[in-house]
Amino acid sequence: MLRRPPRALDVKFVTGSIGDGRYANNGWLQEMPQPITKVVWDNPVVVSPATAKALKVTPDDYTERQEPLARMATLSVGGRSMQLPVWICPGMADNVAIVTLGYGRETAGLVGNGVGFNTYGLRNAADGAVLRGATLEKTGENYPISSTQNHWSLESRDSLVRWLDKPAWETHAGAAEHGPGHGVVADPYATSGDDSELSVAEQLGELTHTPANLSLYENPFNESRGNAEPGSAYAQGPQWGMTIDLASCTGCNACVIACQSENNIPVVGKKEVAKGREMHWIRVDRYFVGDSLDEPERVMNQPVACVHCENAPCETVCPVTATVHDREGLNVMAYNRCIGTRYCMNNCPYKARRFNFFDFAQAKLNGGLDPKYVPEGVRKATNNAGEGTTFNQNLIPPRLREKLDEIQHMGQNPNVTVRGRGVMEKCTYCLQRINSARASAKVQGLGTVPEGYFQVACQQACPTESIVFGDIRNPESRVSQTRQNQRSYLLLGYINTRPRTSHLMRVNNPNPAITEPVDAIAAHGHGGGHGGGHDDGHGDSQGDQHGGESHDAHSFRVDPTRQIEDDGYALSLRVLGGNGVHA
Amino acid sequence: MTTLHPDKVTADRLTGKPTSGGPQGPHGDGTLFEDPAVRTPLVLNNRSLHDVTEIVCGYAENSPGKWWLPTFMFTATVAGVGTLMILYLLVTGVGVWGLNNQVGWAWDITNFVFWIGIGHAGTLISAILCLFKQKWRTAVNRSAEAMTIFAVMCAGIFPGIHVGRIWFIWFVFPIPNSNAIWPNFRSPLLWDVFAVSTYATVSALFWFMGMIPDFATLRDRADKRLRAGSGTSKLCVQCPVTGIKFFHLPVSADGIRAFVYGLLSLGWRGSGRHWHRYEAAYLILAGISTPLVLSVHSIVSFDFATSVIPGWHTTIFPPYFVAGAIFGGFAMVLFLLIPARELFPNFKDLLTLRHLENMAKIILVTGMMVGFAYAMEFFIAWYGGNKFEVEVFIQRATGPYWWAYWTMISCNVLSPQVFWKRSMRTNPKVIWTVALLVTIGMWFERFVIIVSSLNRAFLPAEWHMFFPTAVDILTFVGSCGIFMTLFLLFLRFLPVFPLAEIKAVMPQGDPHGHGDGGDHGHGDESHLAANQGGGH
Repeated sequence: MLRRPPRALDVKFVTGSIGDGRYANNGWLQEMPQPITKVVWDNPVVVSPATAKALKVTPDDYTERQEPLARMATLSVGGRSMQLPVWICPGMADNVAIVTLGYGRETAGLVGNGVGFNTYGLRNAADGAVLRGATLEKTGENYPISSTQNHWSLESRDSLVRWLDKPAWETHAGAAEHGPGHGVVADPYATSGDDSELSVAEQLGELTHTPANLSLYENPFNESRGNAEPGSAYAQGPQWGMTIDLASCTGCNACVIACQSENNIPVVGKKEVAKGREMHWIRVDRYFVGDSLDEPERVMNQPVACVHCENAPCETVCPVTATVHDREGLNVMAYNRCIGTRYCMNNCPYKARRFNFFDFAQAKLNGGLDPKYVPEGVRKATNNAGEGTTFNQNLIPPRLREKLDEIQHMGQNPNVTVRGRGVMEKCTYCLQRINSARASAKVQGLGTVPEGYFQVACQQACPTESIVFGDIRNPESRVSQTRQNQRSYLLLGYINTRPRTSHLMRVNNPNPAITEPVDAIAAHGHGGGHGGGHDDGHGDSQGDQHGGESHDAHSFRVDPTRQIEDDGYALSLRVLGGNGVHA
Repeated sequence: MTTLHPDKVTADRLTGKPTSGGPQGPHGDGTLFEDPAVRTPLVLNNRSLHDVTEIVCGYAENSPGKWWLPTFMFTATVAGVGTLMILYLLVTGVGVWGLNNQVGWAWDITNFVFWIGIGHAGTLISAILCLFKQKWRTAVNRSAEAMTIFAVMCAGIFPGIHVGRIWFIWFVFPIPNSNAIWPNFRSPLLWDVFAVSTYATVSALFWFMGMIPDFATLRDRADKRLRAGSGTSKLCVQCPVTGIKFFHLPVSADGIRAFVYGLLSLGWRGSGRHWHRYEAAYLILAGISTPLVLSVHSIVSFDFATSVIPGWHTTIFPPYFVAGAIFGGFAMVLFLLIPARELFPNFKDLLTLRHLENMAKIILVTGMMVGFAYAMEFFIAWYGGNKFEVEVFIQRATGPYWWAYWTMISCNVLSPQVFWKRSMRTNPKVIWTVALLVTIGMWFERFVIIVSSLNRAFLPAEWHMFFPTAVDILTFVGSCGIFMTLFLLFLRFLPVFPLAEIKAVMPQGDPHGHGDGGDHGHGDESHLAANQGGGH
């Protein structure tokens, strides 16, 4: 922690999503939340919270106004100076200011003109990427900043983003047999009594604490792949699923933009983002983990899109059946049927749904209904017509408008419906790609869609291949193997939503000289409410395997008698579970 | 208004009381006696049956005073602003409100639940208190029922306009269509559609049916004046400043009354058979409405209780919502009737302090019920051991919306506690203040439930604040304007008290001469009403 203001800062120049500014006119990239800071449509100076506090430039609390106010400050370095807004980023080194280049262009085009601040004036060609001896002085003015994520902390909700240190992982996953990083469950289909172990990642979550979800109602869709009886809802055809590996995700946002371009997702602009109305179907949640946000231990990135729950909370609440399940396990939206009650959005535990509060997709380049709701960039849209003049899109002659519309349509994917105002939308698992794959597989005489025949957009774009998509019914498919990985867990699975997307927890390999590895599972608290369920059967063999840890180890086992009572719940676990916990 | 002539002699002869005036309460104002065996009368000042008719019909036949027109103009303007806001919303999109992808409902559904809750007092008074033969209800039931109808109308606006595509709102109705798509019968929002429309229908029927004999009275009075030649002066527009009359219309006020009230009274002649059927229908409607009092707000609470969101996902909601609705509804009744009591002449004789005290007691009881529910929510969140749930409640009391939570607690739980003291619950000013606070508190209760749960749901990455826009605020204010406008019209043109029912609880209405009639088994309202009849 800094006791007093630093005498001088180091300035690091970086380029963001729009590169050196050449992509400034790209609305997708302007609205892409910058990794870690999650700021859109702007390039504030970024400093650590402690530095900001010492310099008295900490931004406003986001709870007080829609667009948090950043403090304007004069950044002076090497005889040059410039007024810039200041934003904070936990985990940064103190006394460093990060300045993003490429913004503030005057002739970028319709979208990019005048977005952000032109920071090139702070350095010349001879300077490197780092300058020393900079000062940052508060000017007393404020500047609104929009960010897609207003909360920094994980709020101790470790079960959302899970991780384990490598020694603990090796202990629990029996990695000795399966090789490091694998630990695939040997017999995921086994329906015998004692296969009911939770995967290692699941042992870190609420399932070890919560009682089984007993239901009086026998849901015909509660047949998971795990024991899909012939004739049950999910026992035939491909059943689509996805895994997202948190260990390899770098939070680069490639999936966000890939999804945006594939699915005709509109750009909404800075003001609408500030209101929390960004339309991205997949987002990368960023959490700072640790005791203090001033000095977080690590930052976790977690891509979240619609997880296509088998027990989808959104489906039951829609009064007009606009969101339903299809036979391949997808939670699909019928846009034409949607009347926009937003009940599904409220009831989605993952908040994966996006609502068209205005005619975002259509109105944008046609002038819009209300100029206030057109993004900042578009509003200023002058396209070389000079500073300050506004270009009324409605004045375009009709025949030229038709041509322009044609050009606009060319920018959109013809296979995906463009959603109008008042309609809910969300990740479809690239339904259009599934359908076209199904059709061409049939034409080619392949029968069902073979593994690896197609990729969904986010998966295709992911540079680290952390997103895997495919048929979870096919035991050979990559996704069914990653889904059975010991690192696999269902986000908020304890609500019994039974997501089709599972996340693979991160395994850290801390340097013991720096950080003592922790066995998070052994440390994972267990309430007293498990009753006598742990005394039976499987406890013995486990005890032998784990030696001294046996008590801890089997205290997170699920009571098998309860599982027999509750098919749906047990089965959803069985998809993830298996014998792999037995080392 | 005609000068009133309290027919004491008739009244005393009928009740067998000495002519000294009968019990008026220790202070002559209808407050309770210390002696529990003695009850204060429900109508004060020894009014005769004719007096009651004159008072009540006088409200519908005469201008209530100079305050009425400016007040009406003001509320109508506010209602107009609200309507314009709704128009703007429909043209532009739901985005003109401050909602976002994390907080999908805010003021819209808050207002819906608020107004629906307001309506519950009317149904409770007309149905449940009728079945339990609570005679004091007769002074308030008509206006409470009117308030119910208007509140349900305001409530109906919000689910209608909050949808993204109102032009497809008919999808929620089970209309056979060529696509063979039905609405989703599993959705609590659809249950709402049925619950609220049933409620609106039954309440409107109840209200209208109760007014039929009174409409007939108004019709007959107008007709009588027309025949006597006293009510034939033509309507005209009068300059409020100079008093000069101009623009004469071809009809007289009584001509219009005779026609409109005649139409509304559906040919009521006050025969014994009419009264018999009326009483039967009244009981049937009371029977139908009684479960509705409990069901409507239970179903509204299912919107939240059946969800998975922490803070919504709780089984205490149905009883909690019903208690809260009755609480808020009685507060609104008091909020409206206490000023009416001051502004209308002789209103205090029919709506006495005893009535106010009874309602204050209901506020106290239901206020403690909701207070218990608030406490239980916290207890169960802790006892359930679900950390997401615990967190929502901690955030509710200490998070960014703490001010809303503590407004709710202080208005709903703390402010009614003054009613433990009798001097407080018989002081109209205090009651009115508490009623106002409770009305505010109940709005905040719904806001707290909806917004402070949604903005602190499972994933902290998706925690987002809700900020209302001017359109949010003006739409709600506009709905208050619509409500007040309708209520002012009701006060001006419709029978504010049920004549026959009030007369049935007066001493004259008790053929056995038991005076206040509240403490024995014979004073059955139905045959009393049949005996007393309308058409005075």
